Order: sequence, then C-alpha cells, then structure tokens
Amino acid sequence: MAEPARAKPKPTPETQHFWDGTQAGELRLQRCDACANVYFPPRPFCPSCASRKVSVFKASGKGTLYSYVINHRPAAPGFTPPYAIAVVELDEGPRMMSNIIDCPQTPEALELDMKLEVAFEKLDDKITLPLFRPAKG
Amino acid sequence: MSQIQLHADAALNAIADAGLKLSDIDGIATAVETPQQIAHYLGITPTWVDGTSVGGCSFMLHVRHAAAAIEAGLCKTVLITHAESGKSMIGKQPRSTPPDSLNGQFEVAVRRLRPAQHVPDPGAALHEDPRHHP
Repeated sequence: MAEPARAKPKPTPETQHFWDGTQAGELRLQRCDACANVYFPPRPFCPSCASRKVSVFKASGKGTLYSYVINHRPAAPGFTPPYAIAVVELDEGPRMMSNIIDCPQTPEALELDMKLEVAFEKLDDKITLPLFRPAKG
Repeated sequence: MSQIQLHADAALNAIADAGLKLSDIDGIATAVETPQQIAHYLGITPTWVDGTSVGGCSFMLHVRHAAAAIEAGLCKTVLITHAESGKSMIGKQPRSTPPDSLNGQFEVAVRRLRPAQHVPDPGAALHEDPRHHP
C-alpha cells in the first residue's frame, strides 16, 4: 500500500513564485530593493523597512543546520517517526523550516552548523518541497 | 480519558491541592479547548475568561492576565487548565491548518507534529493508551 501523502501547501498569489521555483529546481528568495534585506517566507513587501519594492532572486540553495528537533510522536500521513524537523539557516540569511534527508535522524548524525544543500522533493505536478541534505564535498 | 476530561481531572486535583472548592473558581483560562467548554464541563459560571492561544506560552500569559484581572476586581480565583490527549487521540480537538495559510505552506509540509485528527477505530486507540491496559 502506498504511503499516505503529506499535507500539501497551496500557493497564494504572494507565494506562487516560490513554489514555481521549487518546481523548476530553484530556491527563490526575495530581496528588498530599498534596504537589501533578504527575507523568507515570501511577501510583497520588506519586513524590515516596509518597502514594497522587492525582487525575487535564485538563492544558492546552501545553508547550515541552525537547530532541529526529532519527533518521536505518532505522526501525520507522510511522516515516519523518528524524523527531524530542522531550521536551516540559508547562506543568504533567512532561516527556513524543513527536513533533513539522506541522513540518519539522530543527534550523532545531525551536527549543528553542518553544511546543507537544498534537495527538491516532488509531491505532485504542482508542489515540490524544498528539503535539505548534507552538502557533498 | 478524553481531552476535556484530562482538563477536568487536572483541575479537580489542583483545586483540591489548593484547599479550594469548585465553587470558589470564578475565572477560567485555557487554550486550544475554549474557556466556555471548560466552564460548562466543570459547572462553573465564571465572571472572567481568557482564551488567549498563542502556542506553548499561552499559559504564562494566562497567569499574567489572571493577575491583572484579579487586581482589577474582575474575579477572585482563576483556574488555568491545559491537557492534550496526544497519544490516545480521544476527544482531541481538531486543529486544521488551511493549506494556503503561511503555516500550511511553509510549516505543515515539513513538521506536521500532530497526528491525524481522525481516529478510524477508537477501540484501537484505547488499546494503544497504556493507561487503559489492565
């Protein structure tokens, strides 16, 4: 029997560019044209200076493991405990919540500040999730 | 034991522990469950309620709000409750996150901590709960 599916994000007009990006294999962030602040999650204004002049750009997809928790509780469809819920600090600055794949879900394997790279996990024809794996090399 | 009964069980223990009676309680604060549900269930008619629900720190805010309410004369004795039937899922309040909300887009897909809201076989759930084993 197929594993039940994860809850799927549903893009809004303000976030569509982000989800289009993950589908195209790009992690897209936004930068304020006025103060150069880089932020996440997507929104059409800068959360630092309130400017509405902001641009979307392709991020490096690289980051480090800022923090995580390992969930042992019974999980929702699409998750098999134990699994780590991680906060990734992107090289461009913002932090995002994600999962770490291709890595044992243990404190020994999940070393804080370890280098990570984005990995795109396709859920269906519309949604691809940005997950992270230990960086190669 | 259902989620609301876990609230009530803890509340009755706390009230007894404090040397109070149920009828002494005239203020109720809780999160996830609503204060009116807890009041109805315990048979209390409060003069003050607080349903502030801002995550795990809700209950610390309840304490602060309660102190202010008592200071302002809105009530005299406040009961603050919390309980989750996180393992058995019995009587658990559904918490749905719309998939186009910020949490639905950027959190739920990677962190869904809460088990499914629907327990297909409540009997099976009962047996999973060690409290119900003989």
